[in-house]
Amino acid sequence: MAKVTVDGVEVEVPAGTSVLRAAKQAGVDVPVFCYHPGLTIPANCRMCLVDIEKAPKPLPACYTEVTDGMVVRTKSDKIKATQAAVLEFILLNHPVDCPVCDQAGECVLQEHYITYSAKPSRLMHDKVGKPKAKILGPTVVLDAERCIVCTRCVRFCEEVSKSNELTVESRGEHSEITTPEGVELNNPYSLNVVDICPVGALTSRDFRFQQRVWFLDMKDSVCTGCARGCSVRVDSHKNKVDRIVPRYNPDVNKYWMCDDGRRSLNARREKALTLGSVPGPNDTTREAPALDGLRAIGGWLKESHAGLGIAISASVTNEDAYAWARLAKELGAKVYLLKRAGWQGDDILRSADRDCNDAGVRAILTALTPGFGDAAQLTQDAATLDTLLVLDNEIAAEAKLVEAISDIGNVAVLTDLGGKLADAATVVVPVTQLHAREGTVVNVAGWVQRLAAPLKPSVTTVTPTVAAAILAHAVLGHGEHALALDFTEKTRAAELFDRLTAAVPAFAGLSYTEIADHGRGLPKDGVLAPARAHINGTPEWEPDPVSPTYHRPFHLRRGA
Amino acid sequence: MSTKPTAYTPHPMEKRVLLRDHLGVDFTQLENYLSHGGFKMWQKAMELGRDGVLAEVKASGLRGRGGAGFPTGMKWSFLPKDERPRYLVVNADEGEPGTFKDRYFLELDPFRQLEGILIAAYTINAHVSYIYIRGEYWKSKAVTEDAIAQLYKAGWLGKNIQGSGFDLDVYMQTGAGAYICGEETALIESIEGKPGMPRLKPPFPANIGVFGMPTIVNNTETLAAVPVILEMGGETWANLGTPKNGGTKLVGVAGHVKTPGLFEVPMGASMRDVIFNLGGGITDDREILAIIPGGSSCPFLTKDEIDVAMDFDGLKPVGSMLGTACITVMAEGLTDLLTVMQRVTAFYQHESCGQCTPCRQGTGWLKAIADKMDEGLGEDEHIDLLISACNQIEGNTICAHGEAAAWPIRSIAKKFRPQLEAAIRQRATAHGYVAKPLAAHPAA
Repeated sequence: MAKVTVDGVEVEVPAGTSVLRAAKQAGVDVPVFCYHPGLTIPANCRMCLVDIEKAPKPLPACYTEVTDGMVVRTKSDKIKATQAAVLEFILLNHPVDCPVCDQAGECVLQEHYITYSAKPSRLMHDKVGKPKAKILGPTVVLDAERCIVCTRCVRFCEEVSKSNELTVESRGEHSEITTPEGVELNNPYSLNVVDICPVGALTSRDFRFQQRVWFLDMKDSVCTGCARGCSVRVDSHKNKVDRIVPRYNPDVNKYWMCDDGRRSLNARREKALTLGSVPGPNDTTREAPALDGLRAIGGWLKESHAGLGIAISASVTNEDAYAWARLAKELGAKVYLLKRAGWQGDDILRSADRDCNDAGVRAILTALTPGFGDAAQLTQDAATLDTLLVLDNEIAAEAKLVEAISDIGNVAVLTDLGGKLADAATVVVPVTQLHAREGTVVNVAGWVQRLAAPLKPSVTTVTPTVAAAILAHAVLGHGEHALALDFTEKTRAAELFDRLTAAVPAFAGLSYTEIADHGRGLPKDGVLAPARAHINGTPEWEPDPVSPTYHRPFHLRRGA
Repeated sequence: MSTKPTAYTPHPMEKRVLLRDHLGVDFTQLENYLSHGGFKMWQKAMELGRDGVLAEVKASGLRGRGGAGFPTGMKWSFLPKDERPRYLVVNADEGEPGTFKDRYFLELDPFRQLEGILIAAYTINAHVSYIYIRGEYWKSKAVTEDAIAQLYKAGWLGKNIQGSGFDLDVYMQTGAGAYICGEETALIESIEGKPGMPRLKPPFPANIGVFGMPTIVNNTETLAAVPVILEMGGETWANLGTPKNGGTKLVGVAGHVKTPGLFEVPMGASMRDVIFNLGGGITDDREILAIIPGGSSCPFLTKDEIDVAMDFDGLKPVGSMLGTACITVMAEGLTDLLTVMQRVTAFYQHESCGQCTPCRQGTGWLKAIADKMDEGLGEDEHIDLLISACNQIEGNTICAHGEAAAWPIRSIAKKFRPQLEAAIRQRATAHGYVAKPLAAHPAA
């Protein structure tokens, strides 16, 4: 351990800690541009230069390691002048086109300029011209004039995605981020370079010019694109998701997420169903809201729920799976767990299993409806079933399965997306889309996280939990269903989760409030791992990539 | 490839122990080198052993001849005592504007340096040595490569050198014309095949250098001095110079002098004597306007600041440094300082690697200001802007390129302000702008 004094505050940190981390622990913010805790340290921006006693020159806080008895000053006149100097140099050739820049409002350069310089320009010559709107690949656009050559993006492509598409071309003030000839920035993680770009040099072709960031409503959630379950932040405005960005989670995804994760949620939003279908007169079908569909299914079940099969996707939330498992148990239905088609995983983040909650659904079904089957079993059993309810359509619907199901008399699909199974179904019930319902999911490593509901649900849809309660009501009658299922239409995800933890041993001891922020692991051998301390700056919790203001958009200052 | 120099008598002020082109012998041929006592010091090094050689070099007080003047013996003893392979890298990337001293060894006396490499590699126990030579020195490269080939043929390089059991391979690596590759860590990056961008320090090359292994980087002149030191003994070498600055130094005199050239003087020789005796005085017997003492990265000197001792400490009183000790003389009436400043700023702007902010942007800023002045759009306040920009670059960069760019410009702006102000007015008038009247300057 080493004792370090930063601006008069003494802290004790392990030997080998950077001055930056020690300062953070002492409650002192040192401004940085090029430093990113998930990447190697080039110390090239020189923004974090600090005075260290006995050192002849200012040293970069990000790179310099502490020694016992070190005295650091970050607010001396000399350092203030240095910080202003570095900002003046960076802004010398920067176009300062903030009014048309997507980064405005969450720009590190804006923040640092306001905080550490706020001096007028002394420029007397023409700025160095560089390419604007240079397309680097299918996802990212570069504005080379805005670039401050911090090389975060270059290092990301070398160290994290390991695809090496970006490099710095030319020298001196003509340095420019570019791709080698014939190569484009095209890897499954390419959009991370947009997130880590401290200025508006790299912008996402999806988000570019779509929204000013200060209008965005930011909610912490989880990506449901694959079994990794990356922690994300969903940025929406006026009931529309504008972008999804990764959120730091040391136990799941560190600082990153894949491009498909961001885009799959967008695609899902665009295709979301608001109306389903029910049989109309004379062998026709008509478009119908959720309640009409549920009334039709209720009619079937009231008549008879013998020969009932319930197929649950491994991509539904724990709460939905729990509700439907209870329903299946109460109605004596056969239960099947259906999977999505897999994809090419990698050893960075993408899991080959695309179901976001396989572990959770499996644990719940094992506890409540042991002996559940899979898709092959369903294909085999189809002939013996009279009624089949399918929860969530995002599953690998093989031709064999579709064919087998088409022989079943009554098939209903509850989904927020259309698809092959929905096409073959008699009744389609539109389920509240993913970003409008709360819940929890368990990732491939047994990590439980919470989904947020940034969007308002459509009035024509219901959540799967509500659907389960309505169906139970139809079969069991008013009030009875609540006793049988231990929840009603009004039960919220938080309460349902607590009931689930009591009923399913795999979840024992977890609580909905405790898994906020970055989630918590499922208990192993009945023992919960200790929760992480949520203290910025401790060795356990990495400091924010840039500064506390980095993830706080300017809307806090709006109107001020 | 052989070049037979013409014999001549050197100036009596010189003390020649390294230079010997005046003998008129073609030292690019191994037999000539051997017949003049070549490789005798290798035998002596074998007798002294590693510690013996290191002790002699330490006793000599030899300081690195690349410009920084770090004690060579101390540098060698910094190598960690572990089993990793070591490398000896020779910095022959003589890129400093106005400098032409290492070229002598590379082009006219290559075996001197190679013998030094052999002894140094033996001392630090390195079995591979890289000579990093600037791309523009194509002739020097050809001569030195030819010398290496001669040594391999005669068994002075390769496996089991002359039956000693010591192995050494020497490779030449060419730069691609980047000044920054003369910085030792950028040079190492370049040898590894990467863009020449200086590394962060620590770790220093002695611990993590070429390919991550312990590496010693020495200047060509430093290594060429090693056999001479062994020959005369460390003490004798040290006594040639001033205290703390042992031995002799190659000095170049160029610019507006009557007899420009490369000379060898004891450390601590008077700069005035060097310019007026060795350099033969100023062209047309004019007044000196400005002096660059050792390559353009040293702060400029005025005509009143040349009564200094040419050693690594002697130029501190006038706020400059010895650098490569290759003097550039600029005469009154023949030199326009604004043009000089433009050239210097353009050079450092062009050669900045662009890695760190103050140097990347600052060097371009200095050039832009100088260019505006030249276009007739300068103001007197822009001189202050130059000084301010220089102050902002200095000390804030990863390597010394920032200082190298800032120091000369700041010294011009501070020491030659009247001349600059006059030049600004002259340009304004020449471009048809109405120039402000020149204020009476106290120093003018």
